[in-house]
Parts: sequence; C-alpha cells; structure tokens
Amino acid sequence: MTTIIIIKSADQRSAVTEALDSVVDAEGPVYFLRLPPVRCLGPLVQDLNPMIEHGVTYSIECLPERDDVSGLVEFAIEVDADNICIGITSRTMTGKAQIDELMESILLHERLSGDIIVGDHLIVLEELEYEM
Amino acid sequence: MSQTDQNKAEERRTEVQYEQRIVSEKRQQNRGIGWNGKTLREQLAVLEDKTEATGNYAGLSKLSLKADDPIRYEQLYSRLRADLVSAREISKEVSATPIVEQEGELCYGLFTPEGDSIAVSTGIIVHVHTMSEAIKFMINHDYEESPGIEPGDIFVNNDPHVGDVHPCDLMTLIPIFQEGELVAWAGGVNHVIDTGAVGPGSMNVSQASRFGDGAYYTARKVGEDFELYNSWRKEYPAKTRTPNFLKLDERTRITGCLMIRDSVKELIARTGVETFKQLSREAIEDGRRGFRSRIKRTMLPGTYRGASFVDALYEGQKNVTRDYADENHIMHAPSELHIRGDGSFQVSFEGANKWGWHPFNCTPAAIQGGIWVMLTQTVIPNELVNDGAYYACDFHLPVGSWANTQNTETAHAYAWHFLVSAWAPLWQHLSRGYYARGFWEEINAGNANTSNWLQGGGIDQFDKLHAVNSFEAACEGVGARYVEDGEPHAAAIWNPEGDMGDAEAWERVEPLPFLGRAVKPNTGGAGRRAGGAGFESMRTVRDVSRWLLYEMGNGYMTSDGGLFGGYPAASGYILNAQDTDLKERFENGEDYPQHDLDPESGGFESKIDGDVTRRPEGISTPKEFTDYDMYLNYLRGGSGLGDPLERDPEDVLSDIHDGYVLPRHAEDAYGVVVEKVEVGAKHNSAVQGEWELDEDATERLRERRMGERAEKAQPVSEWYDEQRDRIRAEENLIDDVKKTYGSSMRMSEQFARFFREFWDLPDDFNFDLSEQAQRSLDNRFDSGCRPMWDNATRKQKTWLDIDEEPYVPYTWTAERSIRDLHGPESTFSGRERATDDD
Repeated sequence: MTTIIIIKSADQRSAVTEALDSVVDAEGPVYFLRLPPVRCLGPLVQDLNPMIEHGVTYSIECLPERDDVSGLVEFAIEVDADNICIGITSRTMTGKAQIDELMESILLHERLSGDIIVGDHLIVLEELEYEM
Repeated sequence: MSQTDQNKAEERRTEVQYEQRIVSEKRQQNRGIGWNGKTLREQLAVLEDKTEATGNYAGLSKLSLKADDPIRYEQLYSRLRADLVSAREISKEVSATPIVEQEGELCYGLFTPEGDSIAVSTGIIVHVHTMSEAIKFMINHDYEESPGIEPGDIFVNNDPHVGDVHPCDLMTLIPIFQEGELVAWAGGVNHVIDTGAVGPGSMNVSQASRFGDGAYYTARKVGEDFELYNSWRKEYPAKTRTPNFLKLDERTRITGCLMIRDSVKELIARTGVETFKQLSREAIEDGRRGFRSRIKRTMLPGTYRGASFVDALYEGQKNVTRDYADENHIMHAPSELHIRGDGSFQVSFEGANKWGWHPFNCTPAAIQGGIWVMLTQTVIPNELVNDGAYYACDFHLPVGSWANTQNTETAHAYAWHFLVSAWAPLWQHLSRGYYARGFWEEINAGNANTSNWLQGGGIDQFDKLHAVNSFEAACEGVGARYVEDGEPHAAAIWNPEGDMGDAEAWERVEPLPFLGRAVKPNTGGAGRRAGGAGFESMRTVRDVSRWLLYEMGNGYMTSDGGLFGGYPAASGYILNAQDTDLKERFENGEDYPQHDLDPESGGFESKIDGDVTRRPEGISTPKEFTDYDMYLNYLRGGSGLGDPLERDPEDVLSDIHDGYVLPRHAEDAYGVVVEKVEVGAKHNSAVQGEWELDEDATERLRERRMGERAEKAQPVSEWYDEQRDRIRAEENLIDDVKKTYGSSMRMSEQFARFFREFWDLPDDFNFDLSEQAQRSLDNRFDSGCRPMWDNATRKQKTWLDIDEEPYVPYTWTAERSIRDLHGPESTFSGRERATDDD
C-alpha cells in the first residue's frame, strides 16, 4: 500500500506518528512530501526513524509550491498512491478538525477520488482512485 | 601562477558559478542540495535509519557495481585512492613546516555528502573519521540553512568536540557539487606548529582548560568561490605565533582538496555521476563487510580485557595556569573488547576515571579516530580503509570520563597522551586473538608511548616570534612481533609512515642545533623478541630570547606492558642543563655531551658544567632557556614479547653492538654474560668496543635466574591476600593512586562493585582521600556536562549514555574464573575456513 504523508508545517510529529502507527503498512512504500514553508524533514526523520521503528521503506520528496495541487495530484498518480495523509493544523471551537485549503483542493480535484477518514492528528484520504 | 594554473583556476570559477546558479534555482523550488532534492540533514537521517534498520550501509544488501564488474570497481576505487595519495604527496611540498614536509603529518579524505569517508590518503589516518564528524556536525546543526553550503565554499574545523583529536590538527573541508547536487566532500588536515595557546607550540601542557588550549575554529565557513574571506585572512594569523607557517599549511590543504575535487569531477565526467554515487556507497559497505570478515578470520568471539595507566604529574610544577590544577593525575583505562558473533565489535571503557584539569582529555571523535588508525595497521591493512569500519564497531565511552568529557570546558591539546596509552591493551587483545587463530605473523606487543614532545617558542634566531614542535616523535620504536623484533625508531601509532626528519631541516626552523642523535639503549622492552629501540637527540639553544621549552610524555609509568612475558618499554625522564659552560667548551675544543646513552653512568655530567636537571617525570611546564642550554629529546621504544631469558644470546650480543642494550644490562635483563675484548672497535651505532659471548657463563646464569624466580615466586592466593590487606589498610598507597581508583569507583557503579567484590572489601568501602584530592574530585564531578552537539547522530547514541545505547556487557566480575570460558558452540555465525589469501 503506497502512502503519501504531506508535511506542510513545522510541528507535524504527532500526525506523522499516527500515520506510521495506523495507516501505513510494512509493505510501503511511504513518500514524505515536503511542502513550503517546511525546508527540511531531517529532524523529524531523526526523531521517528520510520524504518527502524516501523519497518517501512520511505523516501522524501518535495514540491516547489505549497498550493500546487496539480503537482501534488500528478505525484500521487505517478506513484499510484493508495492513501494521502495530511496533518490537522486547525480545529473548530468545538474541537473538530478543519479542512484547510490544500485538503479542500485535493478533495475537489477532478482526477482524484477516495474516502476521507479523520484521525486524532491527521486526515486520511484513502482508497484513492484516479481519473486518467 | 602559470598560464595552465590560471586556466585551471578560471575553469573552476566558471564551473562554480554554473553550479551556484543551479543550487539557487533549486532553493527557490524548495529543494535541498542533497540527492533528488533532499536536504543534507534529510539525507543523513534517511541513511542512518536505513543503515541501522537493515544492518547494511545505506541498506545495500548487494554490491552490484562490484559484483557486475569487479575489475572496474577496483580500478575506480584505486584511482580515487591513488589521487588522494598524490594530493598528499604533492601538496605537502607547499608547506614550510618540517612537520608536514619532512614527516608528512598530513592526511586527505574523500567523504560522502553525509560525511562518511569513502577513501583516505596515507598520513595521519586517525582522521579517517574526525572529518566525518565535523561534516555531520555541520549537517545536523543546519549549516545548509545558515551559513549555507554552496559550491566553492571552504570550511575549517579544529574543535575536538565537533570532530577532531586536538586543536593543532586543522582541517579544511570543501563540498563537491555536480549539477546542483552535493556529491562528495574533500577534506584535508595537518598538524600545525602553534595554536596560539597559553604556552608556545602545538600542544601546550600548562593549561587547565579549553581556554588555554589555543584558538578554536569550530566548524566555520571561511571562504566562498574558492577564495578565503578577507575577514578570515586577517583573523587567524593573529591567533598564532607562526602565522606564515599556518598560511602555507592552509594553502597546502586547499591545494590537496582542489586536487581531490578535480579527481572526482574527472571520474564523474568519465563514468557518470550515478556510477560515482554507487561507488561511494558500495565502497563503505564493502569496507564494513571487509572489516567484519577480517575479524571473523583472525579473532575469536568473546571478551578481551585489559587495563592501562599513564602519569600526568603537575604537582609543584611552575606555570600551571590555575592553582586547582596543581595536582597529579593518573589515567585509568580499563578496557573490554567485545567481539560479537557477526564479527562486529564493541570497545568499552567502563570504569575509566574522570577527566582532569589538564590537556590530555579526549572526545569520542578522538577515541574513534585512534581506533581506526590502530585497526588499519593491524586488522584491516588490506581491506578498504574507510568509514565502513565505523559502521562495524560501536563504543561505550562513559560520559564525564577522560574518554568522553561532554564538557566544552575541558582541555584537549594533547589528547594523544591518554589515547595512545589507553589503546595499549587493545593491540594486545588483537594479538591474543591472532595467537589463538594461528596468525602469528600479525602479533605485535604494541606501540610506543609517542613521546617526548619537544616544544616551545619565543624570539628565534631570526628575531621573530616563533614556536617549535619537533616531530621526531613520529619515529618511535615499535613493539616486538612474535616472529621478529620490533622495528627500532620506525614509526608512531598515529602515522605509520613517520619519519624523524633530517636534522638540518629541523635546524632551519628551530634555533636548537643538534649536538648528537643516536639509538638509545634500554628503551625497547626486553623479551624473547625485543621491542624496537627508541632514540635520542641532544639539542642546544642558540640566538634566542625569552625562549621557552618543555617536555611532554610518560615518566614514572609505562603504559606499554609487554606481551606473553615480555617486558614493558622504558618510561621517560627529563634531562636539561642550563647556565652551562658549553660555549667555552666549543671555543676551547673540549669535549661536551652529545648523548645520554647511559643515564646512570654520570657520563653526561662529566662533560658539562651547569645546572643539570634530571627528573623521572615526563611532563614539564614551559621554562625559560637561554643560549647554550641543553635539552635531551628522548623518543621511546616499543614493548617486548616473550621471556627475555629465552632470547638467543647471539641476538643479545648484536643488541649490544647495535646500541640497543647496555652491556651490563645484558646480564640484568637477559641473563647473558659478555666480555669486552676490544676497546677501539666501532659499529654502525654510537657504541665503541667489541664484546664476546661467554656461552657457558650465560647458561649457568640463566639457570640461576630461573632458580631465583622459583624461589621468589608465590601462589597468587598469597599475593592476593597481601594486596587485599594492603588495600583495606590503605597501606603504602599514595594519594594519587587512591584518587585514581576513587574516581573510577565514583564514575562507575559496575567498576566500584567489581573492585569491592574482587578484593573482598565492605560494601561501603571507599578510599580515604586527602582533603585536596577529595576537593579535586568534587570540583570536577560537580562541573557537570557542557556538550557541544545539540543534535546527535544515530551512531553517537552508542556513547551518549542514553537508553538507546546498544547493550554493553560488563565482564569484570569477581566470581568470573577461567572455568567460565565459552564452550565450543561459541563461534562466529556463518564461519568459513581461512584461505591462503588470509
């Protein structure tokens, strides 16, 4: 099962941990997709050690622009991703996860469809299907 | 600059400008300078994760480049390595200091983007890993963000807490880019003459802390576009007594690094960047496998144990920078070498005592570098020498000990004093393994304590502020081998290519004319195979003012025990003469001392009038010398192997004629009786006279000696009882010894428990220390840690005293006996029979 974990802000440790614990499987692969303004995932990887701790094979990719949904979807199609995970960065007054612009753009993208699951720290778009 | 050189420089600048444009574009796209857009820190993190998870470097289970075309693989690697050696041989001619130009105290390495060494040149190969740590420091502390790592950049480091042995080894590092990706680093390091410490020379001894060690340059960028910053050019020369030498040293290093860069670019142009990347990865995994393979073939799995000590005596010395540093130190280095079933090994210094207010403290980079330099001469001389070995070993270095201070207040100017002494048992651990497996040609009793270090400075013969650092210490006697004697005055542990240098070359840069240079008798340890003899130089002083000189080495103690019954090498001593009548003797054509071949004979004192100082210590703080004063530079010998009474008497006779043994000591040490038959005969040594062997008298003497041994011998149980009572009563135990053990017990609960159980002491036993000793320990233990690294690497966690440290067995237990040996099932996994190639 191929998973993309999108990292778009500095403090995403909880979200990534949840993704590694609950979403990805050891068959992998996992793609950590780094978006601006995040410059480096080194500290996160050094902290979590996905291969040592979770047995997953993974790589780190980056996109030049945060709001480039087309690029993101192209990448997902290229790697034939089954899941896309994004960390929850804001919540409503009642504690519910808010869908940000990026996630909204992904959900509304015409070439992509799937089921949405809301976790403790992240939102997962799973069972992805693609319109070629 | 010649037209060719100008063209080359212009070509490099054009290349760099092109690379910089690509890097800038990538940055705007949020891409790093690592491979496939990763940042260097991401790349290092992924590499470490994969390496540890899979047990193979970078997860490489197959060496496809090597497997598909092994000849090409060897050619490509050999080309790189040959170019590293060429870079060293050529660039060392740029340097003005004999330390580099004569003795070759220079080394280059080629490193992966993550900082792992792919290949190293000859020279001070301790730095196979120190530059690695410096690169990893820059990566893990986000230098890619600030100050940036760009094509054409030049970095420098000499900080042991980052990655170095001691501050006089200055390193230059330059990144190598290809199409906007950092594909490798080139690094060069050399030993400089003077660090601008509180005393002159490269390794001052009188400081109590880092703040007297000299100038520290902690992993900093000092240039761009292959040009040094003006601010750097103006800054560092003022921090040393020998600025012109340091400038040329820097040019040396940059020259070599640029040559290496050219070699890499040329290889990439020929074979493609993907081949280079694959080669750099595979070479390290190959090195790792080669190391384990050699361990499996030459050693037995299990634990090898030993301990060593060395003295560093400061009590009563003048010019110690702090009153609280006015004390004696003894380094205690209990060591365990655990060799695991898969051929990896762990070195543990559990029980090492606390760091001190002296410049002999070590950092992990120093310890690890020292291990490599030892291993490359013993275990892996014919395998790839790179950081593959680093990934096959781990280290347990107790935090707060002299081996791993984790305190940036500590001084490190001469970390080698403790390093070399601490390794002495490790050589012997390896030798025991070789003996058990039958590789007798590889057995070596160890290496000399590399000293004396002649250092000093002041106003020299050219009326300039200057410093000196004689590197005759690169040429010590080597420990005896099982199959042959040790080589006399041959090399140093840290530079197997060591050379004592031409006397004339030293005299050009040191106002210290040679009066004599000779093999020094009785310096190599006695044994069936004798340790290699050391040598000595007698120097005087000329045309100086406010000139300081000092000694540095072991004195009361020898850290190099003999092996299999061999005797240790001789320890050191200090001999100076001041306010002498040497000038008058020169003018009158009278005799004067050229040597001190027989310290007990009075020969030296009979040929000079003046204030003669003879001391059994090996360390002195800087003292003032004037014209016609004299200084003995005594370079040590190696330890012996086997019972001296088994040495062939004819060999002892040769030893006498070669100047390795004094005639009267032939009887004392070897039980060999000789008679002088001619007075005038000369030999190819300082010895004059001819001796003959009295075979019958020798046989009788040796029989008598064996009888005396039997008479004097006592059961271990009796000896044990005496020593235990002595410890309990603290009888005839000087404060320095008690302080040493007290420090180890305080550092390590395991050691304390072992010590008390072994000697059957009460559970609450502690040595009763003097108030001064207690205060000294309290001061140091209360100092805590001041670590340099904010973000450790994965491998550093093996010595950072945290939960993730690999299991460290502790085998010093009182109840362990020879009956506890592993059974025959204890062997290496996947073992194969040794072949002729082994």
